[in-house]
Amino acid sequence: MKRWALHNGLAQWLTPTHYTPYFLASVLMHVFLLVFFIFSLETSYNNNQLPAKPGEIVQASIVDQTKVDEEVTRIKIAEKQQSEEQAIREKQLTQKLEQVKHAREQEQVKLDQLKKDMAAAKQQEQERLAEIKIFKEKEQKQLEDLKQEKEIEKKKLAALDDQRQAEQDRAKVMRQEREKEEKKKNEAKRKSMEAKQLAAAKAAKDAAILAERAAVESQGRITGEVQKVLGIWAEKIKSNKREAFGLATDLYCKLAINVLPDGNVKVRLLQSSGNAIYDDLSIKAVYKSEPFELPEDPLVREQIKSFELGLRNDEGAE
Amino acid sequence: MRIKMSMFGFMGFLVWCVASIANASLYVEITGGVAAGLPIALVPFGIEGSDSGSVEDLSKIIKSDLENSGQFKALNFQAIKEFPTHQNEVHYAYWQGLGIEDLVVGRVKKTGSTFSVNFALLDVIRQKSEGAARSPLLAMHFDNVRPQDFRALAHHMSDCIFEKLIGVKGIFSTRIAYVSVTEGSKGTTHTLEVADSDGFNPKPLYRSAYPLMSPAWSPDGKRIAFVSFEKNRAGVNIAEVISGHVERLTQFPGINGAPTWSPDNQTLALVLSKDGSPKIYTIDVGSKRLSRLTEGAGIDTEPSFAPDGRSIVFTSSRGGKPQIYRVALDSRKVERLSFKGDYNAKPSLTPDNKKLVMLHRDEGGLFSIAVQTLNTGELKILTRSSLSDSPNLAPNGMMVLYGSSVGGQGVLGAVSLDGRVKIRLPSREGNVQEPAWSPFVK
Amino acid sequence: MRTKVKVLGSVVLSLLLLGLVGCGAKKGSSSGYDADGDVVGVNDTVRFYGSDISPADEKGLLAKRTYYFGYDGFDVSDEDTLSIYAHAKRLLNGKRAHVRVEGHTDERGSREYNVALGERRANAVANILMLKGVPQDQISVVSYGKEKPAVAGHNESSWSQNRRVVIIYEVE
Repeated sequence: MKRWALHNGLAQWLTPTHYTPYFLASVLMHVFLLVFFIFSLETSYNNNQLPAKPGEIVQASIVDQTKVDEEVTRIKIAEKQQSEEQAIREKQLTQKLEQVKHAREQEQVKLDQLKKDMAAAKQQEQERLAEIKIFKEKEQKQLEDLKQEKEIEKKKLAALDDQRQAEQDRAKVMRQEREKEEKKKNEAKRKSMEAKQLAAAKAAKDAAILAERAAVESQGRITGEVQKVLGIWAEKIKSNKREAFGLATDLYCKLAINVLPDGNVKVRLLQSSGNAIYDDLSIKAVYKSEPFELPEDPLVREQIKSFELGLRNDEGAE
Repeated sequence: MRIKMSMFGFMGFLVWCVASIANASLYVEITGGVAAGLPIALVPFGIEGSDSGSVEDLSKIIKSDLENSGQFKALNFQAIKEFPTHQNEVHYAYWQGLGIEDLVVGRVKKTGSTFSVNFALLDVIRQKSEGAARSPLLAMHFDNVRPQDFRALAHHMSDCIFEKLIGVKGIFSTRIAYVSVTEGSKGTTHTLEVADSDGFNPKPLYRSAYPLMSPAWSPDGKRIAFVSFEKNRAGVNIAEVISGHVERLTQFPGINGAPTWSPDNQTLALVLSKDGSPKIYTIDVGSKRLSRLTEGAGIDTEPSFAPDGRSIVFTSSRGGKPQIYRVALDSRKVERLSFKGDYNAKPSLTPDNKKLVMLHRDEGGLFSIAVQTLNTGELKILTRSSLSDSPNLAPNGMMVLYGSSVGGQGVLGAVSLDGRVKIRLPSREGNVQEPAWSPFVK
Repeated sequence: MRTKVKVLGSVVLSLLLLGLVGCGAKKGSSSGYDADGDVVGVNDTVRFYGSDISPADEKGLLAKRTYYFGYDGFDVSDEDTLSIYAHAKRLLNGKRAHVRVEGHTDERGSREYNVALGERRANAVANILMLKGVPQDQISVVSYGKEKPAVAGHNESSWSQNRRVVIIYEVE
């Protein structure tokens, strides 16, 4: 750890500790190659300058032809010698370059192989890590499930306790009721007690249901429903009410109407108009409107099954 | 459900729906209804011991009576497929299915030379809804009915049915008087005739070569006052309806016209012009003592007693144009009653003293029978034609008889006071004019 | 108004002298006189009666016995007035003569009210007779209202012929 602390930058890349030696070797080799390459480049550069030198020599001296010719010949030989040497030198250089190139290529192959190995190793490591992670998660989940199960078990146990308690309570209540009933029975002898109690219980149940419904339902909605149904009925009765000709004006009578489950009605005269004909045609208008279609909502039906109907004749009846 | 709701929304404004569920009692109110005649069915009466054509068809006469009253809508005989003759044979659902509210069934049985007649009036709606506990609205039996009595019997039945169902006395057994004018080889003949209220059984009471006018029944139905022009002199006469005896009551110079009876049968109001302009007088029928009731320069004519007998309505031109006025018999105070239009004449008050029936000329110059509601002044035109005249109220105040002209021929028409029903009385050859409705027959 | 009556009277007289007597039927309904009184201008037209009229003219005037009126009208035309004067003269000359003056209306309106209207027309004529001095006992007035139409139709041309007063000699 201490060593990597010195190379913080590298350490960031190199999380797997056991790869570090290869990497160091690789770096060192790269450095060596780089130095070698720069040096060789410098050498070849110097050799390339050579062909410019003869020009300078030609410009130096021209004295006597023979000498010149000799000199020329000599120079030519020299030149020839020189060019041969040059060619050898070039050949050597080329060979050297070839060698360097070859070495570099070998190095590159090695490097690539190294890179490949590294990537593969990295990939392996990541997969391993992922596996570990999944395993850990599984473990965690199992742990949690176990916990929940335990809690459910606990609750079940508690519920069972409650139930047992409730059963005990109910049993107790029942026992008490039974005792009460027995007492009552004893008090009231053997009358039609059972039937009565049954009816009472049913009524109570109905009342309870209705009360519950009433509590739940908005009172305004029921009123609206009732008014709507009454409006439809009133319109029907009106369409069946025959306005007799020549009757006195300002007649008014009031009827009590009970709508039976089959939609037929019972009509009772609550307040006479003082005119038997008008009372009669009013009652007939209601009968002619049978059957009355009852609403489905039991609460609305309950409200509307009996109502009072006022019938007024037209002003002027003409 | 949605259709109903929208229907309610549409029709809701017609209905005053006041619903309250604060208390146990839910209340809803409706105003008005459907204006229509009472749907009634008259089943042809069963006939035993005689051919069906041998006597008058009672159900037919009753049907015609009820229809002519304007209060009923009678089922056509052709529409009837069940023929009960007794209440025990009636299937109420059948009749309710036809929209019938009331049903008349009956039987005629020949016993010797006369007939016995049974009939019942049945309430279809309530009988069906309230069950067999209800008894017939009417169940009547008549013995020793002669064939010539059948029309009168039918009218009597109509009266009973009408009163039971409409709540007002029927007028089918009443009679009418009128003047018929016929052209013959000896010139024009004027006849005062009396007939059944439906125009059947006309009987002449008085004939004259001179015009006859203004017949008026005494409230007891025993006498008819009328105007004649014997020897071209106007005079008021009184005819005894049963004996046919006619006596001249007045024959003053000038007009002797428009007689009308006081409710107590003792006094006639009439018009005389012996002192100048035509004025209203009263004359005691027994003592012939005369008393002048109205003053002034204009025309006063066509008096008619108020139902209480304490005032007289009449036509007067004192304001320039003919209008209706009322004069109190004790104070002689005069008040004007009509204000619409420039020609209102021949007034009479309805039995409830609330409405004034009159001849009214409208803006178009047509003479119509009109009725004015006294407390509101509202005027309702019942008939519209160029030549109507002589409106005359039925004793129950529900119909107005009047004279009219069809194709140049004088005919009698009747219109219900609400204007809904107009009928023409059967007329014979010649002109028929100036109808006068008898009081109820006792 | 009175001047107009005089002027018209002169015109009428000249027309009469031209032999156009008896066209009263045409004139009756179209009389230009307004309803403004019963027997207007009678005293001023006295001068047309008497020496001004030749016996031939008088015969023509006496032949006329029916006088026509406008709708709701009671005014006697000047032409008719001359005729009535002629009848007045005849009644004054023959003391036993007796006339019945009949008033009639058209068929529109109430019967008894029409009787009153007919009487007003008859009185308009009878008043001219009496103003010329004919005693009342030589005249009787009766109104038939619309009960005795002269023409049976139901239009204005018939009605104009039924709005009339007729002088009838009960005793010649």
